[in-house]
Amino acid sequence: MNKKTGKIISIENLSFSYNHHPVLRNVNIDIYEKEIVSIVGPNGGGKTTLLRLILGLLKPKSGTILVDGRPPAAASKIIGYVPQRARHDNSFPITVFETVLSGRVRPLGFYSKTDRLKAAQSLDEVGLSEFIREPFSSLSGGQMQRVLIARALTTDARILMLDEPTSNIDPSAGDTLNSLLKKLNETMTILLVTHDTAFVANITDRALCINKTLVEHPADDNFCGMLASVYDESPLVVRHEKLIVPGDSNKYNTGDDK
Amino acid sequence: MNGFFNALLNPEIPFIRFALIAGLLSSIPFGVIGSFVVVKRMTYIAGALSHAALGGIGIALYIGEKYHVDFFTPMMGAFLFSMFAGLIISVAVISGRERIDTVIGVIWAAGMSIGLLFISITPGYVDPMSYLFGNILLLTGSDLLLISVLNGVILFFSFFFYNQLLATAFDEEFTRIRGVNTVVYQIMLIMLISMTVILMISIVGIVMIIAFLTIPPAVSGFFTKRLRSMIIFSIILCAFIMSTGLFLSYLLKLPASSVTILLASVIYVLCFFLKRES
Repeated sequence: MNKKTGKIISIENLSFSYNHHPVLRNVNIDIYEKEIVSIVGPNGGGKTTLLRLILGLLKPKSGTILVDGRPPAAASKIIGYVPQRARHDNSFPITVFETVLSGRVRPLGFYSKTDRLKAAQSLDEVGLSEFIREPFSSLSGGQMQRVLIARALTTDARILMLDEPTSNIDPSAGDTLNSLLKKLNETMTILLVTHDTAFVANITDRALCINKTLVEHPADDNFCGMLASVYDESPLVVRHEKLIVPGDSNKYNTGDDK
Repeated sequence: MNGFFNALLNPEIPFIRFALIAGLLSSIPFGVIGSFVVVKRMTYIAGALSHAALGGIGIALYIGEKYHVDFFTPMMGAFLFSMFAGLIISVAVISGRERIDTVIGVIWAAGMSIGLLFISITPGYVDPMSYLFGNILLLTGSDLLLISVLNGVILFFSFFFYNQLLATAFDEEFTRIRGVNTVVYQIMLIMLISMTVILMISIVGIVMIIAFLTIPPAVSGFFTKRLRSMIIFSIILCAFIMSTGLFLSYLLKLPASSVTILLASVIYVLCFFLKRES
């Protein structure tokens, strides 16, 4: 199903390096409104770096990124970000409501009634209203992930970006997350970084495989098998250099010539 | 017990009354800043800042005695040295280029060494133990005023910037994406720790600062699940430990600082096992 409408993220000739060590080379991609796009690839291939560049946390060495026609830093209000849950200290003394409310934090000042209302609505949207007063640390992995999604939704975001949303959650929580993301996709563009190819095949329209360079794949029912045929094993060991068609960084050899 | 209360009310011996008031007042900075120290796992930063202060104390004592510079007091030396150490640690934390534990170790060791070096060459006799363990019974009315001012500063920042400090402590990267300058709040927290350390050195000593910045909030953390509750419970617990420690030291005729730290440690161990059993 082609859901493409207007471009919401546009990346042109993007390159990035850490201490002269290239991480991304000449990446070109457009992401459209209400798409679900996943970013897959090996560890250290540049997935999270690309996410951080789109979020405006890093600045490109060359090339441009536009989010809704603006540089990422100017578009932060329309981006909802769900970081890797593993980054959080699970013993931190904070309630579910305080966690969600922190999505409305401003440089100065207190939370307003609107902020509190919006936080309660977001929590309701992810189906966790009954846990509003519970400590964040008492939730299961899947519930914590949904609370972090609720926090990202408090800003009326149009793009939801998730970093490894299925890590450390059980299969039933993965199904709940899958349904939630599909529901949110009715109004939002979703971009997720993941190692979970089964999750990618279930939910996403396109997969961007990144290992310094970027190669785009359709994500359909045959996604996992197709990835295996293209990359021999899995996207975790991908070497794009073998696949890139000279002169066009985004076109890949389907494997017929391998 | 009556002897202790009689001493508290005796106008001829104000130092016990001052010690109790100082203990109760210092519970506020220890409870508020200590809770952030514990949840952000910054105990070693607090340790480095308090020990670095000894460097400033040593230099100030030396300059004061050798060159008769009266205005450069040990408190001022500690202030300058701790703030400087706080800035170095802030830069290291924010830039992420250096291993933070290494930077903390260097500041900790260098600060103490500089302090002891200058104390050893200062004319006359200076007892470094008084700075390491403090003496709450030697406080004056002006010390109480200083603690009150510190309380005002800490309550102001922790009340007006609580949401930003909480969000930054929980998820710095997310908060930055929301447009909050998290660098400012990280530096603010380290500077507030420095201020707490500096003022409390003269009251409770370097060793006791670490104990009170960590033990009451750690005990509170066993029983509370919100930072706000943790802060309030820490303040109450700190006040209880300070006053009970002072009473026990009077009763047993033992040093107030040591008795108070030991009491806090015993409470921590008891609560640790109580929490494990429940």
